[in-house]
Amino acid sequence: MASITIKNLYKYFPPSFALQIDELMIKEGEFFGIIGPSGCGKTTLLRLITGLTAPDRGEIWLNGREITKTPPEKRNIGLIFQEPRLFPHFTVEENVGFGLKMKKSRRRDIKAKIDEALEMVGLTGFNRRYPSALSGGQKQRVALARALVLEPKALLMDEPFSALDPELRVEMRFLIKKLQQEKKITIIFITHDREEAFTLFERMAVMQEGKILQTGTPLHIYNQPQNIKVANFLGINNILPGYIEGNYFYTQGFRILLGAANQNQTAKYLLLKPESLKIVNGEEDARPFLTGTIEEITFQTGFYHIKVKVQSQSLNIIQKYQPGKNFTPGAEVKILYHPEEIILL
Amino acid sequence: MWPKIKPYILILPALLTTITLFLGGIFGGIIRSLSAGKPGEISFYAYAQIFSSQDFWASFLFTLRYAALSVLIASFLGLAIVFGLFYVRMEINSRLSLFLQRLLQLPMLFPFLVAAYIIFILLSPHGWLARLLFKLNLAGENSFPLLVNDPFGWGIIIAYVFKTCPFIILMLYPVILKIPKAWLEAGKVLGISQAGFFRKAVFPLLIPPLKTASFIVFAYTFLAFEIPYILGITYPKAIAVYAYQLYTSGSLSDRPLALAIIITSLLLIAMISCLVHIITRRWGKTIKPGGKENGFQTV
Amino acid sequence: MVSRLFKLLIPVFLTGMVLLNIIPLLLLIFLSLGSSWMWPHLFPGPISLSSWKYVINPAAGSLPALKTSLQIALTATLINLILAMPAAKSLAHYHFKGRKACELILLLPALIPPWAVITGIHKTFIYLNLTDTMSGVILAHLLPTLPYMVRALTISFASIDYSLEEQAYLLGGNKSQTFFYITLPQLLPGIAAGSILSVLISLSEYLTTLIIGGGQVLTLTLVMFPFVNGGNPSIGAAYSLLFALMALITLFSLDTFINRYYSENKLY
Ligand SMILES: Nc1ncnc2c1ncn2[C@@H]1O[C@H](COP(=O)(O)OP(=O)(O)O)[C@@H](O)[C@H]1O
Ligand SMILES: [Mg+2]
Repeated sequence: MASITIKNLYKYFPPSFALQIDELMIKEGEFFGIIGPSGCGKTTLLRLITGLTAPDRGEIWLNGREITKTPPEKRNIGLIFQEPRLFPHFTVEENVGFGLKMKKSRRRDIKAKIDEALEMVGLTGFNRRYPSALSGGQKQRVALARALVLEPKALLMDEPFSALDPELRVEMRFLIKKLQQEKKITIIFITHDREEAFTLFERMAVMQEGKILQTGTPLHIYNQPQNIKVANFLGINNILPGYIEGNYFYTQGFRILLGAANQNQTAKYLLLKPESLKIVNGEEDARPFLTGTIEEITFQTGFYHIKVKVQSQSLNIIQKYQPGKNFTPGAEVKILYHPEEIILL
Repeated sequence: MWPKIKPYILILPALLTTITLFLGGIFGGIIRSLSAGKPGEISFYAYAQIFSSQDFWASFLFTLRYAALSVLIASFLGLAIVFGLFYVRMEINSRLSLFLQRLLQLPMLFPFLVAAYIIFILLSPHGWLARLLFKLNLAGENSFPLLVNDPFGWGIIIAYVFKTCPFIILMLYPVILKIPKAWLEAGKVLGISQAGFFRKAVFPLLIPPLKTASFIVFAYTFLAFEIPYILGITYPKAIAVYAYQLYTSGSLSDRPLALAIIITSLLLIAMISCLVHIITRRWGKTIKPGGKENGFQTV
Repeated sequence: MVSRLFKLLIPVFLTGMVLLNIIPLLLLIFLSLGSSWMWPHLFPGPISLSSWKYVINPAAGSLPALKTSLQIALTATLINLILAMPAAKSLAHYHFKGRKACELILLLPALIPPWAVITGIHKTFIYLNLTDTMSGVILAHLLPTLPYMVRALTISFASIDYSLEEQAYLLGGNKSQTFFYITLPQLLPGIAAGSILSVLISLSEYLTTLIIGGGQVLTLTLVMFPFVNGGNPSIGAAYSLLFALMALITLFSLDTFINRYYSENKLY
């Protein structure tokens, strides 16, 4: 397992896409995530690291050795795509053993390693099956075994589970997390799924339009997003424009009380996390509040997603479902907020 | 630099071979057809000869007639068979359809000369069909129509249809394989019969490969030798027979003539094909206003 | 009403067409096994193997002719493969100036019976001492067969899944390993199709072989020609069947050979 360092990496795709990464370091044994909207260059970055795409300039280092010009077959970096890319004319064991065979490993070793790898991904006994006889999840497990059996210096995964159905996706996340902890594999994992990011990553980078906007632990980024784009992408979708005067942030039609740490700044935006807001029906509470009208309610697995109109603006609020507590559209409600949980940008 | 010239280098060996043999052959033919006069001089004597020769034009029209008729019949027959195979695939069994397709490919195992021979033993005045009709009291010993070595060229046409129809099926069948059953079911929901579905959705997809196949068959048939040699008559001769006999007549002075006939035929085939292409392009457009997708959308 | 008629008509029509393909074959078999075919018998007289004996008889020269036919067809096919592989890759994967023109030139010879073109370079063949030799005939046979090989392989190359090649590189396969284990298996159906067409066309060739071979290179089509052109019908039938048998066996062994190759190059 090894560390990966990227310096001044640049790749241009005509007519208009450019990937530019000034510096990125992934530590040995780290579960590193990359998250960003579709088309922002995540796949391109992984292809550059594996050598499938050549950069226009810049350097890629693996474990203190520069590999920018090394061909992909000599890098021993595993890459798992969204689709499993199994060789259709080979059986499961031939697929898994392919890399070892190419390296001309001893036959007996190959056999043992294949069985071990298949056991790791929970496919013991599937040796003689052809890919056409496997389910989507099983295929992706074979792809995983095929990469792991080579003991790669790093394992890159490009939205590997996004084609699977939700239950299977959770199961696969569990599996990869377990394998990563057992084997201390360096992993770079791409997703555009926030939930996946928060469950899996030790550290992550948020990308947009070919650039890295911020790196850090998922929680750190969530609590201190560097700009609106990052915040928005992480699901902080109450972004109010305005200005600070005294203890208050003034936005269109209302003002919000600031906590002690937040005063005297020149912030232009105030951000409210949707789950940090609480709707109350009138009972008293000491916290500061806003008043508004419920516009829209949707229910999703244990949570209400509620839109409340406050003056001319809409706030998105996530509330845990509680028996006996109901929301009705059109109702006048109070929205409680924590001055300390406010983000100013 | 390397990536720029790589495709050219890869294609070069095959291209050089073809250019040498094919373009070399045609240019060689042109040059030799122009060498009927004094050595080293260009002479149009051979062309003047054949253009003014009744034999040539008789041969040409005879050849054009059987080539056009056989390609028309083979195309229609091929299309009908492919429709049948489509029906079997969709409604009965796709394996059976594939098996029938293979069986219908049988004549491709025989060379042209065997195809000619088969038509001869089947259709000659004392051939198998004549005997069958005689046994069934449907024809007398000498009342069987002349179908081989006949002045119209029926024997030649039938032999070509027999030999080229499998080729047309071979070119069209893959299209059928690509049409998912769901299409037909969607059509049925909308109340469209198989025939209607075939006409509206499948037929437009078949037109491009059918045009290619019939073009190949027509051009090839025009100058092919064996079938008209075995099943034709002495006058008018098929172009191929006419040219080849001049070529090997023993008198070297006839060779420019033979080559002029070949070159002229090639030019005429090219012109006729262009003409047909232009006409059917318009005709194709009225059937299929849009791209391939449209064939389905009209359902 | 119409559709019920249709349901009845289609099987009848297809059966008729299949019969029209099978009857000639049966007739050839009967004919080859009979000694005489007197009017108005539907089938030839007493069963006799004399035609087959004649055909097989060394004096008739059909076995050497068969060998010559196969030698020419297989060599031409091999050369076609070597020439067409890179050309097809180029046509399928690169966008270069003149690609369409190159493709047209490569496919054009399929349109014209090769003898008509060969007459134009007959003199060059004579000059290079290629007439009356097997190499000359093989060279001439490239003309009608190469286009089909190029076409089949181009389709094959165009449908290759390159993501699998990438995957092979990622797993440490070098260029030749990747070609051998991943690319080639995907090309095999195209190789089989191209080879089958190439072999069939070469075996069937008559006039080109006669012109370039000058009657010295005797293939089966040359040997059988006098018999199918008004000669003894029984011997003609036997020759026709011998030809079909040769073609069938060659195609079948080609198919098995390719399949065997395919399965032997599995990893274990
Ligand atoms: N081989 C290529 N040639 C040209 N443009 C490409 C190529 N690969 C990717 N791109 C472009 O680069 C951008 C980023 O693509 P990608 O890395 O696949 O994004 P992501 O994986 O984040 O969705 C897209 O605009 C895409 O169109
Ligand atoms: Mg991507």
